Amino acid sequence: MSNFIAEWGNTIVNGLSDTLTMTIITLIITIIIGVPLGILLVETNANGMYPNATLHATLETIVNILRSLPFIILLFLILPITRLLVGTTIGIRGVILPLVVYCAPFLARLIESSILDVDPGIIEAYQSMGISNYKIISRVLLREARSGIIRGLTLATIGLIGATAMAGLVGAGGLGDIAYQYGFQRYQPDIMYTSIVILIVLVQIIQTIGNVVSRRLTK
Amino acid sequence: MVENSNAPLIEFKHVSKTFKGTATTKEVHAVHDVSISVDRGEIFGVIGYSGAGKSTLIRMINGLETPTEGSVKVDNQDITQLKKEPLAQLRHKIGMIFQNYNLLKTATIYQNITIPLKLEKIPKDEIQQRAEKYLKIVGLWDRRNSYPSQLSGGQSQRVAVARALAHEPTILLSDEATSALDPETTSSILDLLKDINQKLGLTIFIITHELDVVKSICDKVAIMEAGNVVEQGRTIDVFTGPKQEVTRQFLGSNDLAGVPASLLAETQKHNHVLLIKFIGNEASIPVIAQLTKQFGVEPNIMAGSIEYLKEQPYGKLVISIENNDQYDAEIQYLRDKGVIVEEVG
Repeated sequence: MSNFIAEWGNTIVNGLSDTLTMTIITLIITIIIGVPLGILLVETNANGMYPNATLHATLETIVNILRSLPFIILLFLILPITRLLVGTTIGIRGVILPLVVYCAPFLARLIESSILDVDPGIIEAYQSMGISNYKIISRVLLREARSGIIRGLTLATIGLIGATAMAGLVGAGGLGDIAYQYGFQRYQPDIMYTSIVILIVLVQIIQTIGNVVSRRLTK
Repeated sequence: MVENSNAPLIEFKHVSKTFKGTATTKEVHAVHDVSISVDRGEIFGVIGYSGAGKSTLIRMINGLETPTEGSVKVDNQDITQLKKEPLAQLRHKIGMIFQNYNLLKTATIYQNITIPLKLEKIPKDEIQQRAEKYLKIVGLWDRRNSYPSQLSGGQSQRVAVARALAHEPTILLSDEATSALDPETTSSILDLLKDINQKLGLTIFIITHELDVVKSICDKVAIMEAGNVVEQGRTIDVFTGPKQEVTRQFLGSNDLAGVPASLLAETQKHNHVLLIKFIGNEASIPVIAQLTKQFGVEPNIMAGSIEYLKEQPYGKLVISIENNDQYDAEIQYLRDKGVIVEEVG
């Protein structure tokens, strides 16, 4: 046991740190893009607050296209764009953009459905009080949708961790990469299992936190 | 709002609203040529079956819907001409309550009152004062830290009333506010509305499909059918002397207080059956006694009922009078005494 830790401890800690770094940075950018995108999907629709058929159809199409591509395909498909925007296509820097492009449309859909779950009567009530649509969205809708939003974020985060495992293909490292490189290619199953167990624990922790927070925010 | 006690507070002038059809839906004429005026301090009820256009009508008062024709004026301002900011200002002065209460379920009762006020940028201590004042008026100050899911329907509606009152409005719109409540809770909410109408001088505009709502609190009533207002006036007048057949049916004004059809048919073989309506208790029985004295007939009382229209007694009697040659004179006599008489056909 102590031998194992001495030999592989650093590798695994680095892998965990890479995974967390990718996840956190991507998650922040994903929230910044995905939440407004989700709101736009709802409010540009015919019965939204700012109906706009063209914008809505455009957003729908983009989201649907991006949602139909597996991450591994997306990663290679947008390589030229990644190189153009980020300057590199390898390492953690190189993988953030594809991760965001993969994750933001997914989060947008989850945000969309949690906002649609809010009783439209509440919007009407606040409109009848003379409160602006902007305030209704930011202070009322998001508040009422918050437990659904937390559940969506939990789901998106776990999906994101799964996607980071493939990031090893462009040299971004992470636990998934370690499990694959050492465990599968070099046939060292103890490393593979260790990485897998850590990933499982990570997902469990995130899901549990998500559940608790979401439950506390419902009333 | 500008105080101007002569002009009506809410005025619909030849208002129509048509919802354009789409590929899958037909064009709908929700409201057709409606003219209504509501005076300050009044409780005005609009009654009709669902789909009659009531919801569209009430939503035109605060601009949630806009008329396709005609004008809607609130306190002399044409609501359709208002820009965003003045419209928001006006809406602060028009409270609204709904069938489903529409409270935030993520917020406590107290927050449900304070959040909208915060969004209107009312000063903090003012917000606290108002929340306390109006939660006390509706009797729920003790429950201020509860969540809507912990309240009954009646309590939730009281919170909604407090939320509306906390904006200190001049008008309260009630959109089927008692339709989801049981009869007992309904009457407690109606009492609350009557109370705030009297104590705070609020003008209340109600839409409902429940006859009891109109009977117990409305000063005036309009009956709506298929987008049209078929009849309107003081509640007591409309109940005692409905002019349209629809109104009669709707108000049940020709129902015979429970006389079975078979008995009616049997009685009518040798008698005239009359439906007598009167306002106030005193008018009825003495009149019939006098009829006996005057003409020597002995009317038989078959059924009767007394209802209260906003605390004013409104009675019905079904009587039979044996066929006799002075019948026309007897009817005239009753009418001269100020009761409404109809022969049951």
